[in-house]
Amino acid sequence: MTRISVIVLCTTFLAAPTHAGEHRNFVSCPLVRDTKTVPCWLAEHDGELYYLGIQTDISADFDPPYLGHRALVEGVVAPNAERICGGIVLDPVNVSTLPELDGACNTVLPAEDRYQVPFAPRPPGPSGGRLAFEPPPGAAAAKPALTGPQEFAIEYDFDTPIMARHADVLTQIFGYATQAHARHIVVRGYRGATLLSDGTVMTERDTLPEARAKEVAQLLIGAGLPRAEIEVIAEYVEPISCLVAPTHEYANRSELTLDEICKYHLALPEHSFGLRQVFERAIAKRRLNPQILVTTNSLELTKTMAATGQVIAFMPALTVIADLALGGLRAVSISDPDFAAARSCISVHRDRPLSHAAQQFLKLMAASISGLSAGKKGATGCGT
Amino acid sequence: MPFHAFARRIRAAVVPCAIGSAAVLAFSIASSAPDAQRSWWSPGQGGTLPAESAYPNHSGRLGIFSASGPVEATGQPFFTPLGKNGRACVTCHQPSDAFSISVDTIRARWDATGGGDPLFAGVDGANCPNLPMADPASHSLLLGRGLIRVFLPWPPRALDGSVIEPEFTIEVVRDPTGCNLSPEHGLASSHPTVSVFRRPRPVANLRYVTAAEFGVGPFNVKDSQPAAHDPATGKLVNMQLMADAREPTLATQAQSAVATHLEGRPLGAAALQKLIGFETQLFAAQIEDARAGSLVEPRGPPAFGPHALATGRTSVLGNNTTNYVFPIGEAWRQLPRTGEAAHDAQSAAREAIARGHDVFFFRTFWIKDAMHINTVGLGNPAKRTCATCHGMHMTGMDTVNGWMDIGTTNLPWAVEAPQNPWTRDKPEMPLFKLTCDRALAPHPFLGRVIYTQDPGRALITGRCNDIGTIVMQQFRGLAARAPYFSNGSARDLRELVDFYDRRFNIQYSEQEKQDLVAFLGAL
Repeated sequence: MTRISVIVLCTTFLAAPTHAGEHRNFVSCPLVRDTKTVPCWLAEHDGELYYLGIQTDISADFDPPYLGHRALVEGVVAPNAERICGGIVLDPVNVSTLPELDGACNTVLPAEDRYQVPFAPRPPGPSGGRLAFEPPPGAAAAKPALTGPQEFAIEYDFDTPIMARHADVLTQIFGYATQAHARHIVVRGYRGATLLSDGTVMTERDTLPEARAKEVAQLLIGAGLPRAEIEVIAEYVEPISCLVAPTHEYANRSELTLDEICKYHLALPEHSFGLRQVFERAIAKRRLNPQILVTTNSLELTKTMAATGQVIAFMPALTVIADLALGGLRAVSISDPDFAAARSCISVHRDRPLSHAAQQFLKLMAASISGLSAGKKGATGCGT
Repeated sequence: MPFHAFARRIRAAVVPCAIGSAAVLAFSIASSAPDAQRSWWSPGQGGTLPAESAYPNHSGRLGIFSASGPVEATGQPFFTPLGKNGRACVTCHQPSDAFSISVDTIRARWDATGGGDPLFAGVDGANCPNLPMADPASHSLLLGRGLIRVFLPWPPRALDGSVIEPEFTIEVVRDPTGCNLSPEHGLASSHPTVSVFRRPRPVANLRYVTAAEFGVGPFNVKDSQPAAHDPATGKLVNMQLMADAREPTLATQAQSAVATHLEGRPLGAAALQKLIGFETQLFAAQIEDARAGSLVEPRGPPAFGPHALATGRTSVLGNNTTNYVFPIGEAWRQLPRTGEAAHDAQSAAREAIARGHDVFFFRTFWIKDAMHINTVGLGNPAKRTCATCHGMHMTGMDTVNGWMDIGTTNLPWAVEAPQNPWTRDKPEMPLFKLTCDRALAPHPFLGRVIYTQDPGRALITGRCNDIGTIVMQQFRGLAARAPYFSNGSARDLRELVDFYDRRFNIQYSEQEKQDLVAFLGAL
């Protein structure tokens, strides 16, 4: 029996903490600059122009944004890179087209001789012999073995459902499930959040984990997988932010290392809290010696001490959105993938039917986590 | 007679014809081609479809190649009335019209029969079945635009008959045909139905239309939705049939067409096999251009003519300089002039076709706000060419599931009669208002409220992003089957080019437009 787990999550959350360098996370209108060859994609932030990528074809990694929509740009300034098309190069960069329309985003800049693409791109018309859709070398060898549990990740742009580029990974999942005669497929849906360079936290819609998981399950069923083999679970993953006072020397940093954090007093919850356990595992791994000033389960006390500069605190970003919006706290990303996320999950054993009371409790729990009202359609956190 | 030899004779006749002195000679040579003068095939009429035949049209001549040889119409289901209204497949898929049907042919048929031909059957040859059939106004969309009524259940049904919960609601804003508001046939009827009006597609070159060796997987590459399967074999299909890809195979399409358009009973297995066998060996393409002469002479452009289609490679991406969409070679570029008027006119016309190819293949413009093209990883806008979307080698179809929205049916781009106090023009097409679920992401280019003459693929999937998406058609035999687009909104190839020019702000020069029309007419 083979078990497959499909992780349905947002790329924005994963990309940010794993690259060292100067992060630029912002939302703005994308711009197109024409050139003698292919157009460049740019975005302006804080009076500076950033280069995101060029138009290529559908086999390329870079999925350009849309005019008519704002884009969430999450990137790292490429060190020592020459400007391209007038923009500071962000590499790596993740660009999410935000779903709602914005007619103000409609700028196409004309080609100018001074802006050339400094490499030979795929031409804007027919390709010169290279054919799209050619499988990359070694793709066949990268196929997973047909034994044991297998996990696949479907990565989304911010706040989006399944898109055209997901056909490949869906095909991989479907192919593996079919060939391995998978008996149990778990689809876990997540949502993500991202911390912008200005300290704002952007969080995906709270209905997305369930919607994403259900959509993927429906697609797999639609493609031919038996319905009974697929279990849908909605989970909620939030990034843990380092919270500091607006006057703190770290307040304007885009991210912090654990070493830097441990130079200051900390406020942490008790050891029974998962967050405390994750923190302690991370500092043990790095042999750090944190200065824990206070251990408390009081959110208010923790926030107050952080806001007055007495401590640095850690909390899931969602719990302090209002404080961040009011400017009483600043949130800074933590550049440590081991200590970047907290996960809340409601799982139901598929072979154990729940009583009515248990189902009602489950709905209540799911609604509490997702922030939905209990009576709202689709509020349950767990599917079949 | 092989096409090459036939075409040489035609060319000898047509060149003088172009200077106005040999019309009789041209007619006599055309009549020597088998069945070329049989302009209308009636169901059950009998006769033989030759292996090769030619039919005149405004731009020149269309060639039909029956690759398996001559076909006796008697006993072939394609030519046989199969239902109570007396129609056969051939009624709307005439050989002279590249196995589609042009509006000129439809009008001629009305004039010849006083509207009594089965083509005008009330089920879908009228604007609505409840109208007086003898009145040409009841058939205005068929007579004016060549449109057949397509009636689909609402909400949509999956292939297994289950109801699909749509992502949008649908309201009828305007109903010139009366069918969508009809208590008997409309959305509020006991069997809620949406009527849209579409052009019959060519039943030729289907080897390309149904080929599934390129880019076909369990999930469509344009939207990651599950691909359809052949219910008989379980194999994946390419979803290129019909304007909305609602039928996965020629077999299911045939059964559906017999049940609806022909009002008949399902075909038996043997008849179905015979029908599909006939359809898949038909090839149609222009073989002669009125100004450029033969399109199929030796050492000419290799893409032209039905023989090239019969021997061409299927499932090949042509948007590259390895394969080309329509390989035309170099033979017609910079032809020498002799000073002889007819020869030089022909050379100029051939050069125009070659230039038109280059406009199609290399002329870039900004493709913007086009669903299922800007959304597939190219970004919005994308600086590309016609061949980006029309990339299938030899046909110009898409290589994968080819439904897109370029605005042929969706407002604001769909052709609409101007409304003002001075006009007498009345809207011809129905208009629907579709409102997408606010809980879902909006359509990326049209938002959550979309007005359309035909929701297209969305009537099958119920998806907001599919509103107004239409499966793109093949480019072959275009000269034989005007008007164009699924709603017949382009009366001729020039209007088709003008639509693109307006839609994408291409800013074609007049020369580019003329060349592009010449090229498209030669296909």
